[in-house]
Amino acid sequence: MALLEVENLSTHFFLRRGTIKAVDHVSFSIEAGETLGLVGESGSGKSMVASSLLRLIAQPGRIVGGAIRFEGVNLLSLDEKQMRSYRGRRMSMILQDPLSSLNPVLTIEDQVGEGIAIHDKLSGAALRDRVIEVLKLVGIPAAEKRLRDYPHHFSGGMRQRVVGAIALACRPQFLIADEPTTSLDVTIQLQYLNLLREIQQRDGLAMLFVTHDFGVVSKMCDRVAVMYAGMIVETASVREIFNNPCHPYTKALIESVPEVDEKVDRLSSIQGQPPSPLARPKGCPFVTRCPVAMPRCAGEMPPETKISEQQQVRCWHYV
Amino acid sequence: MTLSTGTEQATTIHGSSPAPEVARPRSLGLASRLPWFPLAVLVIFVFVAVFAPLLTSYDPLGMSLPERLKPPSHLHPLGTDTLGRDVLARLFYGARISLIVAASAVVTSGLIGLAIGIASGYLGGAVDAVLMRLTDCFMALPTLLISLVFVMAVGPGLTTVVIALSIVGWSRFARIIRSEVLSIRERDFVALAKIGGAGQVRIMVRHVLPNVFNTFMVITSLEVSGCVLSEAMLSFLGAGVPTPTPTWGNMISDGMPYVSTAWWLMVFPGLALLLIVYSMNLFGDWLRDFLDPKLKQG
Amino acid sequence: MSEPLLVVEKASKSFELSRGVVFSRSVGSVRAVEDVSFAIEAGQTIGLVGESGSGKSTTASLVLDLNKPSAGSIRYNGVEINRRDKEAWLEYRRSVQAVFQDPYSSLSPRMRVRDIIAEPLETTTKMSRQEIDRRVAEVVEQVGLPPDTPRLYPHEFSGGQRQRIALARALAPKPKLIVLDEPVSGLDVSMKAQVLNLLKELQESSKVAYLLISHNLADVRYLCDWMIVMYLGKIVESGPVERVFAEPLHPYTRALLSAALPHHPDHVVKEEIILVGEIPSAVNIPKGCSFNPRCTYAMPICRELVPARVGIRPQHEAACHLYPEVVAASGGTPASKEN
Repeated sequence: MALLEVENLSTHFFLRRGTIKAVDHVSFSIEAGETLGLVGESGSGKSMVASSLLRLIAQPGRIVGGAIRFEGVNLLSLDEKQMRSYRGRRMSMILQDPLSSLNPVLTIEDQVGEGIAIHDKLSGAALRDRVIEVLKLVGIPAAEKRLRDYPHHFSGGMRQRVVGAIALACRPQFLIADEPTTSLDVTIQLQYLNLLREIQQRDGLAMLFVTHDFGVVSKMCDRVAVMYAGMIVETASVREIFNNPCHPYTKALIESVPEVDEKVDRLSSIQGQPPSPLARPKGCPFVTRCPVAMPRCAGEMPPETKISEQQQVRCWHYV
Repeated sequence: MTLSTGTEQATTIHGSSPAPEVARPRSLGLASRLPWFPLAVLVIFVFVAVFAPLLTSYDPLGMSLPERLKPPSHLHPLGTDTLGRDVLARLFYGARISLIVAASAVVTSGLIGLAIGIASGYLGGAVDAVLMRLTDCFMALPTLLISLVFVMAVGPGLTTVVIALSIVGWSRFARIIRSEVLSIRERDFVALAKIGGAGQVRIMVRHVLPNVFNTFMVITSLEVSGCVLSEAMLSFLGAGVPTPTPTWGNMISDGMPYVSTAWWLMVFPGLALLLIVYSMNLFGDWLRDFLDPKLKQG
Repeated sequence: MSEPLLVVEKASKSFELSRGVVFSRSVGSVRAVEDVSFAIEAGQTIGLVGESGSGKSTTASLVLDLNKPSAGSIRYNGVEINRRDKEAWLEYRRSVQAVFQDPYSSLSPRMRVRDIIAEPLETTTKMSRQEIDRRVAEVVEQVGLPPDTPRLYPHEFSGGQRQRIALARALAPKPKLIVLDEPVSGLDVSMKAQVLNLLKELQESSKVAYLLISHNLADVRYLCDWMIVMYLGKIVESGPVERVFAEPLHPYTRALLSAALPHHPDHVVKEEIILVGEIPSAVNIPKGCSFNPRCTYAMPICRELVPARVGIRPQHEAACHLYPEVVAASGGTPASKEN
């Protein structure tokens, strides 16, 4: 059994203007020690999947269906108090912006120690030792001396490490990383990704890596799920996604990004705009921009089709 | 830790479709949630003030001693005062004074404050330092006291009241608008205007001014209620528009000695004042939320 | 030989840090850009690469006359851009335009698209209303927006479309040079490809020169024929894009290239160079070569002597003491120049 199994998860936002299906029948699973990349453009709902897993969806949004099974326990059936024992302890999260993820008026010790104090009931010297240990784990030099520092004493890359320390403080089994390196410079990004990989290999951490950068996907992930308009349109191993992308959206997405290691003359680009979240097509959401759309695509939602052991795609061309 | 959708902004797309990250719901149709009650009160207020002569057959100044201190009846719906004048008619004509004073004082102080706020915020440097110290000085003045002193020195009258209220009012506009301009000045479109060859005046008028307009409207709406109140207070203290011209302030003042015997003299103008100020504040709050681009664009 | 379109010569910019309101005193200065020289020929595309704090955006603001250089000169068509000669200034303002990163901040929300695009024409040309309207319609079509675009407001457009509007405005006065400051960094993958392609097409048809400021090496490789790498306010390497990619000379350039992750899992990075530490604060610039505290090849001389930028290969320059030419050239400049 996988560590995390998500089945038909749907999260909707109920607005005056209508209902937005931010996450629409999303299913995937993650094994212990495995990294699943969740790729998509802004508006595809990838961040909403991440928030839904921790049940952090605020009004007017609501998880309306499906199941999130963590070690066999359906998180959606827990009450809020039970859920809190999962958040931060067994599942944790790193967000994109280190500046807004940290509270500017609390010391690093307080912020990193908060979760440990709540979940592991540590205090005093024991708590401090754990905080130092975690800060060392994320590679903060001279951690002992920096406990009383505030976030503004740290550079952007170091701040993101502190955010990582907070997330990893209670040794979670599962980490959600929501674009953790988007705001970092490339050389700092490389440091950070290597660090995450090291920690993952040491602790057997499972990760859900939300990103829009295929370079990061290749470096970090074992498998990839591609999201478009709230749905997962294709899931595959990283190698399959690049060598044999099946969904027309996946293909277009991969071809539209310039590569560093080769000179191309023209990028192929996806025409048009993503559909309005309030007015999604009845069938395949990509139908409005798909170069190989058929009449059937507009009317009926394609079912998930298995291409190989790890690869599944939602496209009528493969049914 | 709250979860938001990060930097992704909600957008509307021309032609077909928006691509917002599910984002924050956009304003949930604030426009459809118009503040009906305050709006109705304000419309009635303006209507009454403008059409006062058509709405009542009584002369607000017409004395009739036999009719004095009559309680509300079908002849005089709100009763009569100590000189037998119809309270309803005086209330209607009083609304005119309130409207004129509030509108002129707010327009005058608003325009001064807008100009000073924009110049100060956009030009910065020494201009800003001088203008803002000046603003600070005026802000430190107690409105009522200064107005009183001014009115006493120049002599009461409609114009004097307007000038007195504007003297202090502009500084609040200038302060808030300046801080708004400071952030607008850093936006890329201002840099692009410079790159496009626009001069300082053009940038202030075409780029900065339209973008502080929302803020300006919100302060205006809140200032109106402040001015109505201040005018009433000045009149109440005898430093406003002199009698026999009816204003809500002097009506309350005149009715005070009779509060136990002829309650209607004080209650009706007081109620009218309360209603207007309350509605104006509600309306201002609504306007602020409605115009707030953060609420509107997620 | 005539002078190139735009010449930046030994330009430096530092920002004074002051404390106190009434008796403000200077408490030091931050070096944003130092001794930056390069030239842009007509129709050329130069990529200016570096991480945050490298001074690339300050360089752009100097070229655009949004900041005045503390030292050095910037000439357009051989004329100093700070000179207030009305004719030359108008010509410069007309010919040098810009597109910025954030498409939400670059368009005034209270102006119609028509007025946004028309502004540079109204201020720098004597065109009539009809001529301006015609030109606006022309550029709107050129950037691939629907013809009713001019009468709408910016909020009716998505990020990618707004960036097209910003580009239309830049194109309107038929500029010779457009400064592109991270033009696609704020866009989604699919929009990004559209805008990058559009930029390339526009250049092919109008022969405008681009100065592309970017932290994304893949974008620079796609769009540019020449690139400049900056670190802590200085140019550390410059040369033709393909040559820099094939044979990066400066260790910082090598680290940057190795940190740019290739997408395909089968394309492996030749040598993964992980830099230690982060870019230092511009208030405390290391002595000698600014890069020495993070450099794997740092030698004693790197901590002493500021490396000069000299040609190592044809057209390909670097400022690094690993190359004897640099040491020789830097020997002439005293090491105390920093102070």
